[in-house]
Amino acid sequence: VSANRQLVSVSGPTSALGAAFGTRFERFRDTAGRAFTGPAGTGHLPAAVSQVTSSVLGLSDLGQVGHPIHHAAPAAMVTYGSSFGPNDFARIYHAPASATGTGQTAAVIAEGDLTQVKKDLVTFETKFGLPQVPFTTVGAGSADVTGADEYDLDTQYSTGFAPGVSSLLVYDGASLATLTSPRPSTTGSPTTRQRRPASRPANASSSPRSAASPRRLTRS
Amino acid sequence: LKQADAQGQSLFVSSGDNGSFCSAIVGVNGVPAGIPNVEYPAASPYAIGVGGTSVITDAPTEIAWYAGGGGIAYTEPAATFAAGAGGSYLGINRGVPDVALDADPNSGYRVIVNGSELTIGGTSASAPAWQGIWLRAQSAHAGALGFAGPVIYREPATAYHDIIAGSNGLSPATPGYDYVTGRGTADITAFVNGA
Repeated sequence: VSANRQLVSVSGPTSALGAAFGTRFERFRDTAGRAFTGPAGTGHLPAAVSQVTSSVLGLSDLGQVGHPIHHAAPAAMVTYGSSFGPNDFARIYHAPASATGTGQTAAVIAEGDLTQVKKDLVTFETKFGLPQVPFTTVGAGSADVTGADEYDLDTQYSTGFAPGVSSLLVYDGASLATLTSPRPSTTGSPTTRQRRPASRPANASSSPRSAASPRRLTRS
Repeated sequence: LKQADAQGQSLFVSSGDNGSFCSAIVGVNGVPAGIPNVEYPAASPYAIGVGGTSVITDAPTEIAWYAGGGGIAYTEPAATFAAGAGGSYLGINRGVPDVALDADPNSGYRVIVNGSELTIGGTSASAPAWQGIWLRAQSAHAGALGFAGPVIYREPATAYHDIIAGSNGLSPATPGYDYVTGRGTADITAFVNGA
């Protein structure tokens, strides 16, 4: 049970977990040939537990960290190929000249080394003529830079759509598994799901991370 | 997330980039294939799920992005704030996404990565963009709007561009709410005023 009493981890043989959820676990292979284990049908919780359970995660080991999709050379049939900056989006989606986010705090949940992410935001703001939003990192992070493009996107477009925002908080964990606390954890859970940060962001955006940790029951 | 909701914080999360199917299963020619699923935490009733569109012209003319995540969650209950969603909303468990915005790499976002410009798509892009839209709405209402979920569903239809074409595999875009673009993409001025 986690310190905040919102997360209960359960492990056991797939036969027992299958019985507990009223289904069974089998091995599957996806179209790329990767084998994974997952439930063969919809799982069910006992009535006594279901009322106090927000979510059950990690019943499959299929989940992977999703990364943003980089522009590929358009196929011949694609005729709309284009790209847009923050000012283009303001025009396309009819943003007002006022109400630019003043007084509000944006928040992004990240992990790893954000040194370059912070520099990239300044480059972005300069390139598109946007005000420089104060960038505050909360937490110690790690040396990992593999998610940097994700956090470039999160920081540049949460503020790019609200250029007058007063500050940007980036919660930086050692990995996405440890973000229940701003301190790096040593417990080494394999989950990549993002959780609510311990502190209080006004508004946060999070990137696509699918539930990946097997044998994990969650309430959040 | 429940606690963040109670504190008036709003978490905007992408609905995933594999259409109506579970991530990591991508079939031939990039067309999603596999087990119907929606991604957590977009499926949480305490977060806002953001789907994707393709911007065909910047009028804007938009269709649902074929790989934008969406559907009905297996395990999460329906969100009370979405009860009046209308359109294709069935009210069975949590419907994802709530809203959408451009996410197609072919109408992608200009992003600085490692000092250089790249064009990137995915609902990884539409989610932070929606956070920005929400920050604009909050700034127009002195930060008093609370959690975004109820606001998103009480907004008038004019606050959105209703996406009625395209599909993510299982779920087609339809008039009103649908399981690929939610209520649609924002007319930000109308959304801010209607919040």
